[in-house]
Amino acid sequence: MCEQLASGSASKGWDVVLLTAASKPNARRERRDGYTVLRRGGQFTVYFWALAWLLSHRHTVRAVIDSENGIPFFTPLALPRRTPIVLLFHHVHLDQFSEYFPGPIAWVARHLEGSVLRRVYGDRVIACVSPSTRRDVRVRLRLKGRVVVIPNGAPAPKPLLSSGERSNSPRIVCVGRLVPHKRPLAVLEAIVPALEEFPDLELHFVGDGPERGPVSEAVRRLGLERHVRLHGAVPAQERDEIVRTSWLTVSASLREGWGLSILEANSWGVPAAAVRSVGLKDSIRHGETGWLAETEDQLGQVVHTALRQLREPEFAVAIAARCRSWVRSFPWSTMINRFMATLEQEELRLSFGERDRRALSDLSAVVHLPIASLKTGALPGPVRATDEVVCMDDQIIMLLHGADTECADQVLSRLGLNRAPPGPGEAGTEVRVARPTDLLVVRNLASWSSAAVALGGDETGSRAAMLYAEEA
Amino acid sequence: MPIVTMPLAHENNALRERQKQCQLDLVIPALNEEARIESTLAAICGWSEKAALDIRVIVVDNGSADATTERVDYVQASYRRIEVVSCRTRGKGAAVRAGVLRTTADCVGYCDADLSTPVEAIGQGLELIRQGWDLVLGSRYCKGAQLAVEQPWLRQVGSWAFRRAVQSYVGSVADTQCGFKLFSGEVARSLFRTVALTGFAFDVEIVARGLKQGYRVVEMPVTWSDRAGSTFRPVKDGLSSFREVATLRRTMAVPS
Repeated sequence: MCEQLASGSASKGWDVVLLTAASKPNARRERRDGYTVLRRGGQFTVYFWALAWLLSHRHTVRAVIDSENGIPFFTPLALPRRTPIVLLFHHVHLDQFSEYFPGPIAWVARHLEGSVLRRVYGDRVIACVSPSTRRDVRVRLRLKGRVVVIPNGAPAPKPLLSSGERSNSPRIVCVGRLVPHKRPLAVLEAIVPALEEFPDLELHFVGDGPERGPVSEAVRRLGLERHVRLHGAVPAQERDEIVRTSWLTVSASLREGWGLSILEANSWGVPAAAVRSVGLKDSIRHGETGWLAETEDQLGQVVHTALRQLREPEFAVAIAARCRSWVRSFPWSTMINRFMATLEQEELRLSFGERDRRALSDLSAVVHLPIASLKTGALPGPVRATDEVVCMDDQIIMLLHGADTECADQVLSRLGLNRAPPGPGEAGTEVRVARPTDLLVVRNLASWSSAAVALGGDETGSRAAMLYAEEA
Repeated sequence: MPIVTMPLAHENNALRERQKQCQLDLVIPALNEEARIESTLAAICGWSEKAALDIRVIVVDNGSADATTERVDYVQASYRRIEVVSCRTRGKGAAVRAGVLRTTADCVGYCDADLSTPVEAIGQGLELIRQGWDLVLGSRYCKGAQLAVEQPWLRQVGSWAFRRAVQSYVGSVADTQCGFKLFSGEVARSLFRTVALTGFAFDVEIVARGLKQGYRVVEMPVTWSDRAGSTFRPVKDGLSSFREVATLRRTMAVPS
């Protein structure tokens, strides 16, 4: 993700430096895709190197995206107060530290991610990759800054496969590191209930890690040698071939930031079955792009049900199309645009300093505005920079960040879009509280001019929207 | 039934109308309640269908960062009379106010998202409204009330001190802070239009204004259970409630 972000922002004219830990055989300094990679320190010492580099460049750095992977870089310590910093959160690691570190170190790590992070970052803006992460950042870590949800981009959907191109025997794939919190053993156990009905079922683990030994042992213990293959880390092409021919991808992970491997499988038209856990409940749409089990115990039953449904070629083709359509909602370009917009808004906010007295709110409102209801002569005013506007079918959908339902009505009034009662047979304007899914899928045309282009208008801004209304 | 005696100031046609039929708009303020809101709504909706009562539930999202609204949707799929609105001004008082001002029914009430008061209290409260009371206050401390699950000691001490601090405003009312209250519709909308406190102490202002304006107020004993996971933080929100009460004299001086 960081590489995509770096190359994407470099392509927009930013001079980008990606600071990361050294890794052999990579060079300490490298130029690629329009940005510079600096590799310093190891897994833990990279934090000191990054702070030292930022201190020495503190007056030339215009903005920072600080990626939190358990421990953030604490970049506010090295930079002027007015430099915009976006703290990028994949997921909260509080529960994970004790799985990987001895007690005292885990205790320190929990405090670094908790109280120390809260104090150092104060009201800095936080970008979360999913609504689940937003919840944890606000409720568990009690961070105070504005939180925006910016899901990772996903690979573009691959050409649609006919059901005949998938493997003849039912094939399940599990892509990811074999680490305790991803629960590979639970995935293994989840295939057992389906074996009687699907005796030629295959489960392919793609990825390596410390759980490989326990998984191999469990395979022997359960007598699943004929059904399970542990591929380890394989080249991308080989991985794609396994995923492409699979019927289903399964994850029992306890927490993910977003579930990128799920979206990658979706891009091949492969649906997912998983436990309803942090992150995965956002990346899988239950009943549309996959199945969510409420608990780990139910995962086996859910996998069994999924395989039964996927046995029907028509169903398999339909769900594959929905998966591909879902993936299309998350182009990398949208993610990059959102980050750029967030940095610019943060720069503006910091320039206000103490004068900015706007109260933060995690609420958003969604407005569904039927295009047919735009009256001739209506001249919608400008939306706020933080609002998002998208055209879908016969309506304009606005996502008003920080607005409650009453405030949304005021915004509509300001835009000259009063909520008149609909005529007979007409759809009225609908204002509702945004759901977490709205934060993912209402995406960024970001201005009336973009909306107007999508409407087919040949001018920009509200004028074009009005013209379209007249034509309609 | 302990009664705070007040002059019968509003005996009129509306009252007689209320006694005939009773629709209820029930407001539930919610802040990060994804773990509890679904069971609360299911209990209320299930009970209302069993009791053949016409209840519209208005959930007021007070800035949740979690999936509270999605959880409401699950219940809404089987019980249509649930609405979700939002209120960006933080505080239970602000959220309840936003909800009450959207009500239209002839009876209005609010309860906590954790349902610490059993649903049956709604029926008992409605009966009192039908009898002509304007404000029915759920009470944990009046005669007949039970604490099924007691509060932690820190909250008990805080509650005691708070009751002492608000006595000058609410007289003999034993419990202003119970999260369950019912009102006659017009009285609720009239009171909440003027309420100024936005935090947890707003109940004190509502009761004080109700008494000052001569509405008929009654305390109804409830069986109350303390639930884990409350958004009320004893120290921070407790002190903030005391501060709010300190401003009440000035607030109440404003003609309502």
